Amino acid sequence: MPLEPANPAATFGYLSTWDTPEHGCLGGYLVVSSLGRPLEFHCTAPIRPSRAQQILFGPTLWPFVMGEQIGGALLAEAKLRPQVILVDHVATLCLRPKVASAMAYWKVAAADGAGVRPSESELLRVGEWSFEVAAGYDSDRDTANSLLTILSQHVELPEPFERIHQAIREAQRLGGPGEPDAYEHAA
Amino acid sequence: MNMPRNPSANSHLAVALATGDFQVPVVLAARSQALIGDGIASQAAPLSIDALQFEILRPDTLCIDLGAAPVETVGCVFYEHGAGSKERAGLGSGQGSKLPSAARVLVPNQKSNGPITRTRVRPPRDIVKLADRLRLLLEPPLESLLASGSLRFAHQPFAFQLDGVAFLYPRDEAVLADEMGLGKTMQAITAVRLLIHQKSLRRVLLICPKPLVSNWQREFALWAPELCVNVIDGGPTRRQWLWREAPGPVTIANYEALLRDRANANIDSQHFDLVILDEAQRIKNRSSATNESVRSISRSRSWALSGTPIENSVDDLVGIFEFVAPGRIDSKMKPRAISRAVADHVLRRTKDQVLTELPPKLFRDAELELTPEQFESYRLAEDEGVVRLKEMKQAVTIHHVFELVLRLKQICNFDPFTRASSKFERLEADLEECAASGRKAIIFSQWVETLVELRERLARFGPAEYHGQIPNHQRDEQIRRFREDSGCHLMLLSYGAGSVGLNLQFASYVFLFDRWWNPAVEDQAINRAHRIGAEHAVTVTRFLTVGTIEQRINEVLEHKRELFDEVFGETVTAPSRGLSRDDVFSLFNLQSPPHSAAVA
Repeated sequence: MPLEPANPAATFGYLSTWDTPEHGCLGGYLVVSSLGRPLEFHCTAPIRPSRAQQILFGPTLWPFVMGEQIGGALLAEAKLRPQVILVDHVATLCLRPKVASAMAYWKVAAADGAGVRPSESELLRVGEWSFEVAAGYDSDRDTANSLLTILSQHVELPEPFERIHQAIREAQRLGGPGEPDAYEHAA
Repeated sequence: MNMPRNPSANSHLAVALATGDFQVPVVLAARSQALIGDGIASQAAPLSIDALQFEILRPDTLCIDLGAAPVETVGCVFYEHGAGSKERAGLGSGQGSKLPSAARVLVPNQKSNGPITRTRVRPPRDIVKLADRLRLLLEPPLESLLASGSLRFAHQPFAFQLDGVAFLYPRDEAVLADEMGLGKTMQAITAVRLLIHQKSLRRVLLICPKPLVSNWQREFALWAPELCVNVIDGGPTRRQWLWREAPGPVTIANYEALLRDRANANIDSQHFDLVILDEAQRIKNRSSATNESVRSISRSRSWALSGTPIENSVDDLVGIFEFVAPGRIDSKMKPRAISRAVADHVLRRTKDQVLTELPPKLFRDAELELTPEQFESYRLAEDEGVVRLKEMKQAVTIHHVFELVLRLKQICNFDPFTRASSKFERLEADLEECAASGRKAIIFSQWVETLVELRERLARFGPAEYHGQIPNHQRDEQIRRFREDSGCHLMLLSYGAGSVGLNLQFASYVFLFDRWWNPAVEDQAINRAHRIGAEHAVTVTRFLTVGTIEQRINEVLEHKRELFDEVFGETVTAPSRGLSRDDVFSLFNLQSPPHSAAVA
């Protein structure tokens, strides 16, 4: 078995965003190597859309909050530019036009109310997992397929999302309930 | 506004509203009419114009800013880019044995139709910096770390063993106190292996009792075959060279060699990334030379392995922590306070907790009456002994009492004159049953003379032996014969030589011919058979002669078990102490002289 991964320079981004009743919307971004080791991590303070935003944005609220606000802030802070970014909320696919990396949405079994979904034949399959690429970026399918196949040899592809959630819970715990003021930057 | 010229027009003028700037000049005009006889004479009244300006107010507007407020972020960078190339598995440069043919890549434990288990590394409490804690939390699961490092295993570890590796991995200070037989050796070796592959460790020193050095060599060859392991042995010159120049990351030394070579090899001036103590209860005495020697080794991490971190009193644990984390606990603390203080540094599991698949351990205590011959000898010895002790008055010491205790215990084994023994009669009968069923048994005693006598009287069972009178180079052969010879149904072991480090899980019966001073050593003895790999239930027979010193000692031993549970268990019981000086004197209803102290 080779000691080095086939593409040692490949890096992968995991962008996780979610909404919690007690804190609001949160996001975390983890960049890992092709062996799944952490290279960079960023997370946001919780934000909560105002009532006016909820009404006036309507169905575009989640792409705005999850995508532009949270996802945009995290990707802007990151120093590394991975070849592929995986997201766990379909609304964040709206970031695709603004990034150079291929993006893929890890398609979970449960519906997430995002409107018309692609058919099964349009999905990207890597092992036992399915992914969806942003509309109009079909080339991302090939890019993601080849790179994620490498990563899947070392990591269960959705597993790093769990790490993001754990890390944010830990940061919140240290900062007090719902108040992540214990955050600190570290080299 | 236009005024009609014909004054005969209606008196009401149409008001033409001017449009435009919201100014509505309203002109009111009236035409008066005078009536004179038949003629109507009318005369236009002069017009007065009043202009009122009504300003329509601009409505209030509400501007809602839907723009994005800046989102606060925090982040950490762990590695420089290009870290992929740094993640190669770093193998030791020295000679390593070949991978076992059955070696396989670790896979996560997965029950059928169940979720895949992932063992996460949790940061210990003493890591306070958020970035350091996040670095550990964001590591892949242990299974992925091991697999990505191409680390193959001879056997699939148990899930609880991976938990133990995850416990050791991030800690600078740790005590792995699993019950005997759960694989502390494997867990320590795997953690070391992982850290060496990640270049977190370069020099590791493992210190163990001398009889276990070869066992550790075998375990390293099994669980980390690629690591170069050095053993401090040979003459003084060779040992000095090995201490200074040994190739490879791992060095194994025994406690005696450390004491002997400390000055000559200038060990104190060397630094080790990790020092591991096996059977760490060896340093429980804080004032001992052994304790001082291990504490003086310069190190970054300190791990201790012991199935019996408390043998007699909490002072034992304090002695261990003087090496692991100096100052964290002291002997003045109450047991519960000690438990809280060490909670994040000690990991202990018992077989009942984690090895539910392990066959059961069945206790079958044999409470026996002395034979008439034994009873007569015992009564005479006790009466004479007690009288003698009382006559000594203040001159009596603990050693005098111990002498009497040991003499009485020996009579409980065999009558000194006739060699009659109720224990032997019972043992012989049980061994007949054991041999008839094709099973094997191990028998423990604290006296070699007892073992020699048993060997002679049980010769037909083909006994093997493992005690102080068996030379080291013959011991492995004794174990091999006991394991492989179908005519060898039993092994005779002393507590000292045979209660640690041996794997005898093919034995189904354990006999404690006479009891030890504390239950921890007895547990170690029993767990030679009841451990991972045992296929049958293990039946434990503890001999005890009623109405004798053995019974009184047993009652004290029960108190010791309660103390251990209070520190490491969840039961809350009254605090208790080990066998104190007063306890020993009270065995014979004697008043201890002034200046009492814990003795055992």
